[in-house]
Amino acid sequence: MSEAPAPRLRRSVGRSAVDARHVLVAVLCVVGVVAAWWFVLAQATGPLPTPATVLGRTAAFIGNLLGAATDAPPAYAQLERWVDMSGLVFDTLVMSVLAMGLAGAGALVSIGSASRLMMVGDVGTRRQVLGRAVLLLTRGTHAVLRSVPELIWAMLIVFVLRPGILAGAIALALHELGVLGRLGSDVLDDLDPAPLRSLRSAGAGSPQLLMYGALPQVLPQLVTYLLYRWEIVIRATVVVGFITGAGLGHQLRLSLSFRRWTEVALVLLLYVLIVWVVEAIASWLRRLAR
Amino acid sequence: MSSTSQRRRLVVTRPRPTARTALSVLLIGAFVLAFLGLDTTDDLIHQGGLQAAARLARSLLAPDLSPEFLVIVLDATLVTVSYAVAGMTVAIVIGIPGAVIVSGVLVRGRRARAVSSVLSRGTFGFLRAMHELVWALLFLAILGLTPVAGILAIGVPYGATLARVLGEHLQNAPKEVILALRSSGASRWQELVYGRVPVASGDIVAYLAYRFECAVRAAAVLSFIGLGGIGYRLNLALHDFRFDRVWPLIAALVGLIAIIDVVSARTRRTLQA
Amino acid sequence: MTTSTKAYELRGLGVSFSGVRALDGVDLEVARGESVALVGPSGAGKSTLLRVLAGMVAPTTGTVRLLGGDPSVLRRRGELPAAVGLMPQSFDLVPQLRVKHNIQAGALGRWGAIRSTAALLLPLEDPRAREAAARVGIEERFHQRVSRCSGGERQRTALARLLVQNPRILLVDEPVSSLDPARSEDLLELLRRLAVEDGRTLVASLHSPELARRHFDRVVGLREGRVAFDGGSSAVTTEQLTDVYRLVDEHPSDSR
Repeated sequence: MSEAPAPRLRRSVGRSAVDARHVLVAVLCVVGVVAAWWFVLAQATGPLPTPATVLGRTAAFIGNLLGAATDAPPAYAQLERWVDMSGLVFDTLVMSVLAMGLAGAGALVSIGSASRLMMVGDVGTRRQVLGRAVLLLTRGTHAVLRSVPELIWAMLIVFVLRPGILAGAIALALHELGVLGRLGSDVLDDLDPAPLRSLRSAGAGSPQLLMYGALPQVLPQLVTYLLYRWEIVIRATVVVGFITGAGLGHQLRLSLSFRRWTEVALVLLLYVLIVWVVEAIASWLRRLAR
Repeated sequence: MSSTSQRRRLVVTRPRPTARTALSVLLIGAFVLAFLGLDTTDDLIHQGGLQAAARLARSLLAPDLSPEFLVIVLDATLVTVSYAVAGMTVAIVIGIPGAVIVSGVLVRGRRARAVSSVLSRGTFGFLRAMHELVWALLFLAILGLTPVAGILAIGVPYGATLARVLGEHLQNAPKEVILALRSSGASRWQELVYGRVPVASGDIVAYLAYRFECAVRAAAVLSFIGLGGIGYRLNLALHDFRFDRVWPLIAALVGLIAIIDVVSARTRRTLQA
Repeated sequence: MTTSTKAYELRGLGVSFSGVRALDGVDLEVARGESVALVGPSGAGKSTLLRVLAGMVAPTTGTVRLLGGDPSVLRRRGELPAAVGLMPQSFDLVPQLRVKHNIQAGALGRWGAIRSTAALLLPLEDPRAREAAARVGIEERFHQRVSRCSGGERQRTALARLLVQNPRILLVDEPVSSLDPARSEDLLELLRRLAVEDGRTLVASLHSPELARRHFDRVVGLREGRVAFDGGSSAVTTEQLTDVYRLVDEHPSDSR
């Protein structure tokens, strides 16, 4: 059994050697990507920057952030600027906590009626047609809330509410309610139906079923999701603050428009720090919940 | 059947009331404190706010569905999707090699793997920390108003996120499958392409689809830095108080996300079948 | 590699996992070209012994000679895949890939990065993989994805992968545990034929002593990590066989 040299690969033959669908999908993807790039770059009004200009300008921008453009001492090196900014950091945190609280409360109230298991079938309500209608309506509402980004909610909300922390929190909460609603109702749908069925046959109504049978089981999972989403929301809070004029986002807008680059650097630094702090707190709380 | 239900019930009633209660009190307390800390001297709703809300609601029943405007909606939707696709290609170009580096599956030796993992995690962790629209602002400041700023704003942070999440998927391949490949003499690279990638392909596609969905939402608000798309048209409509034009634009966005949802679920099913 | 006439020489082999003894003082010699069945109840140490023979587990005490060499040295030199191949009980295939790719994975040790990647992405095939598929009777499923294959088809795919790997020693862990009697006979016959035709050594673990006696040259009985009996298929008595099983059933508590 001496080792023969590896034979040449040859073309595979046979009916299913090539999956025509895979080839089709691959070709469509390539065509789509090329078309998308072409379409996007056609939006440009001026000449496109070359990779060299991108790198060059990025380097210059980083220099500006570090204080190359000014003789004044950089903002991030002055203690009183850090103190000034700490209030904005606090506002940003408050905004994200409010948003999570509102979204969590909304999810708690609505996930029952967005769960297929709880609304239709032998565990569901006795009035099946009504159950189905409520199910579709709640799921649809969650889908709409989820599909529209926080920023667009903020754009709409400032037409109604006075700009500020609460307006921003509500915009964040609307999108987040859609996300948590989907996650929470999926958890409900994955429950073991057997205990619920026996509760139902023991004569429990829908609210009792939800309160005693389902919610206690999904609550820990929901809290975990809430904490995970908080890490995402804290990032978005800064952006929403841009529109609703609150927190670090508002400051970033001002600093950018006045081209106070070292101040921009300070805001970004605080931003990254606050994100990391929230991630640390959230992961600590998740461990606590386990 | 009875054993699984029993197991579930055990999980629920597992007596850890102290930590649980403490956590609930903490979370609810934080929320209440945040509320109390609000400055409530001003009215929440500003002058004419209620009227605006009423007009927004009323226009829901009479949206602008004229052909001229629907063409605008379609164009805005295409622009938004195109930004998302272009941004995702950049993200994939950064994220797939990044995932391989972060996972350390090509590196031999424990110490080398730890070094590569810490370095790459640190870099990508920093890129990930900021929201894509903050990146958009930075790229706007660097490059001026050009589509490239929008593409990079999506591509850079998403690439870093892909690196981390897909890297974890590559690490979590079943040990037995990898050992079987290794015992027939597979190298690290062969282990990756014959084992880790195919095994994780379902999860990879699902996550890419989810990220694409996020990219569409992000692209929709690139108007934030002055680029076109759904958000730009929405901004115009709101500025002109054309509330009847708001809803068709939002409907386009919702429809877009729904289509991605359905397609990704189907792709995932075929991959796993 | 070496000129030893022995496939295996095991002296005083002991293996412990975190203090628990799985194998204890096993002496065993296997000649080249011999076919050996390992029998014994679950927990007797058959799987552990196979993993030692495959060079995947290092002995805690005692020595193992594989074709006259040290398995860990062979592994370091990258010569292990050519010496010994193991078909695990769960096959450990990649379900998302086609049968073809899973079979070709047996050749990865001899292929470079470019060749193996091209074979995965382009409609290319190794004639040896096709030949191996034909020998185990899975050729008509060559392009099918493993996730759509039945258990028997997966097993044949794993076997074909082993043939492509082309080791001198075939190790097979519980090949018939999930097959009905008729298919078990077929599969063992196939294993036997594949080993004899190519002059390979075959070591398989089995639950069924009858099948072991019918299809293998030699039967080794394991009980609680020790060799209970060892002899030619015709020499092994029915009492010896039933003994390994009965004795453990009487002390189920120390069966591991």
